[in-house]
Amino acid sequence: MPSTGKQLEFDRQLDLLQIKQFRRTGDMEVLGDLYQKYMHLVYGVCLKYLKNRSDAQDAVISIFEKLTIDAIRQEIGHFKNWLFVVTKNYCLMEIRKRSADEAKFSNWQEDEKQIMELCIEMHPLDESAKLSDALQDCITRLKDEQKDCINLFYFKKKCYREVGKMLHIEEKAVKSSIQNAKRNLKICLERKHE
Amino acid sequence: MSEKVKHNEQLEGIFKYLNDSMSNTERYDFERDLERDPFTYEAFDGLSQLKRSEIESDLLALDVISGKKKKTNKALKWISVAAVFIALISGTFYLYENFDSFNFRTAKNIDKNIPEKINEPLAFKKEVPKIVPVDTTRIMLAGVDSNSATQQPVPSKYGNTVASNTLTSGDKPGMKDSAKKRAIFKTPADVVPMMASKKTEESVAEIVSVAADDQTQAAPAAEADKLLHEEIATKEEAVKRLGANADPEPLGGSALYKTYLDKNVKYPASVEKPQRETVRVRFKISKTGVPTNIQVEKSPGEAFTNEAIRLIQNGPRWSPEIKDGIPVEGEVSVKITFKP
Repeated sequence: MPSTGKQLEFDRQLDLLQIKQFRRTGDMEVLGDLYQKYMHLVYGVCLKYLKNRSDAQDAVISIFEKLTIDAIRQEIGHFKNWLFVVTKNYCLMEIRKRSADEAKFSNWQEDEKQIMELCIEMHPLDESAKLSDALQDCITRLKDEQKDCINLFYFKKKCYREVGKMLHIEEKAVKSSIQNAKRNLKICLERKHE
Repeated sequence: MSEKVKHNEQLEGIFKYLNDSMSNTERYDFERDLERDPFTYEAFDGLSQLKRSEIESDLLALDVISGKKKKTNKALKWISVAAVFIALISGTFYLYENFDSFNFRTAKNIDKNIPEKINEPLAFKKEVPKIVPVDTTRIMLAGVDSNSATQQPVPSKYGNTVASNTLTSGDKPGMKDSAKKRAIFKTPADVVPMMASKKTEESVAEIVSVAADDQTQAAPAAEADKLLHEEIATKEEAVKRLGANADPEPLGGSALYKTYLDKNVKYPASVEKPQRETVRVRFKISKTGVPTNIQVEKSPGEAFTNEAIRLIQNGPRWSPEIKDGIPVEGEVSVKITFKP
C-alpha cells in the first residue's frame, strides 16, 4: 500500500501524542508501545551498520534506554525521523568505538552530516508528482544510465527488476544508480539556487 | 507477543518482497515507499541480509526484553502508588485525632525541626517524608488545575503524584471547593506535630522546648506557607471570574482519540466466531483528567470488556470538565468498535 501524505501526517501526530503522554506520565509502557512500532526498522538499520545479529540486538536495547532519557530532554517534531537519526548516530558511534582508525573516523563524520540532511527534508523527486523546471533540467544532465533508471522508475513506474532487465544490468546496480542519481540531482539543484 | 510481530504490516510487506511473492506493480509500490523513506530504506538493507525466521525470532527476543521491563515498571508504580496512599491515609488519621491538642503557633515552631526528627527511628518514620511532598504537590496541582481554563497538561515531574491522585481525588469529591482548607490542614507544619504526638508526652515537651529556641528561624517558613495560600486563593479567584465551562475532552481532540481507539484495539483471540462488535463504556474523568471508575454499559463478553478497559486506561488523558472555571469530576461515555 503506497503511503499517502495524509496517512503519514496522521501517524506523525499519533506518535507525538504518545510522546506527550509519556512525558506527562513517565509511563514506560507508552514509550515501549511506540518503540515497538518501529523496532524492526531500528533493528534493520543496526544490522546494516553493525553487521551482526547479537550486536544489533544489543543496540536496539541500548537505543531504547537512550530514548527514555532523550524523549524528555529533546524537542521532537517528527518521532520517526528523529528515531532514525538517533539510531544511525548510535551505530556510527559504535563503529567509531570499534576502530581507532583515523581515516575511517573522518569518513564516518562526513557521513553523519549527510544523515541530518537526509532526515530533515524529503528528496524533491519523492516529494511531489509535479517536477520543477530546475529539477527537469537537472535530470537531463545526468549520466545516461542514471537518467534511464530515474525515468523508468519514477515516470514509467517500473520496479527495480524490470528496470534491470530493460537496461541489462543487475537489480543492485539499479538501486545504487537511483541513489547516486538522487544525490547528483540534489547537488545540481543546490548549485542552481546559488 | 508473536501476534504483535505478525501484525506489523510493514514487516509483512518486507517479507513478502524478499520472498518474491509480489507482482511487479506491488514491487514497484514497495520500492517507491522505500525511496520515499530513508529509515525504511536502510532498515531494509539490514533486514534483507537475514532469513525471515531469523528476523522473527530476533524481534521476538527483543520484545520479551521490553516486556519484562514493562512488568517491573508496572509493579514499581503500583507499589509506590500504594505506599503514597497508605501514607496519606495514616497522615490524615493522625491529623484528625490529634488536631485539638496543639495550637498553630507551636506547630509552626516545630517546623524547622523536621529534618532532625525524621532521622530518629520512629515507627512511622518512613511516612513523614512522603506525606510532606505529596501534600504540597497537591496544593500545587490544585493551582495548576484551576488554571486549566486553558487546559494545560500537568507537568511531567509530578508523574507519580498524578497517579496517586487518581485514587484519592476520585473518592473525595467533597474536597473540590476547599483547596484552601486542604492547604491549612495538610501543610508540612501541621502534619509534623501529629507525628510527634505519637511519642510520649515528655519527648513532645522536649521538642517544643527545643523549638522555642528556634523561633526566629521558623518564621520564614510560616511566611512562605502564607504566601503559597494567598497565591492559590488569587489564582482560583481569577479563574472563577472567567467563569469558563467545558465538557471533558480527550487531549489531542476527539478525532485523534477515535484514531487511537481504532488503531490500538485488539480483537480478542479467544472468540470463536469473530464478527463486528461494539462495546459501550461509561467512565468518570477526574479533576486531573484521569479516566476512573470505568463501567460497562454494553458488551458482548468479558474479553471485549477487558480490552475496552485496557484501551481507556492506557489511552490519552483528558481535559477535565470545567464548571465556572474550576475543574470538577465529569462523566463521559465512549463506544468502541471491534472489527475481526
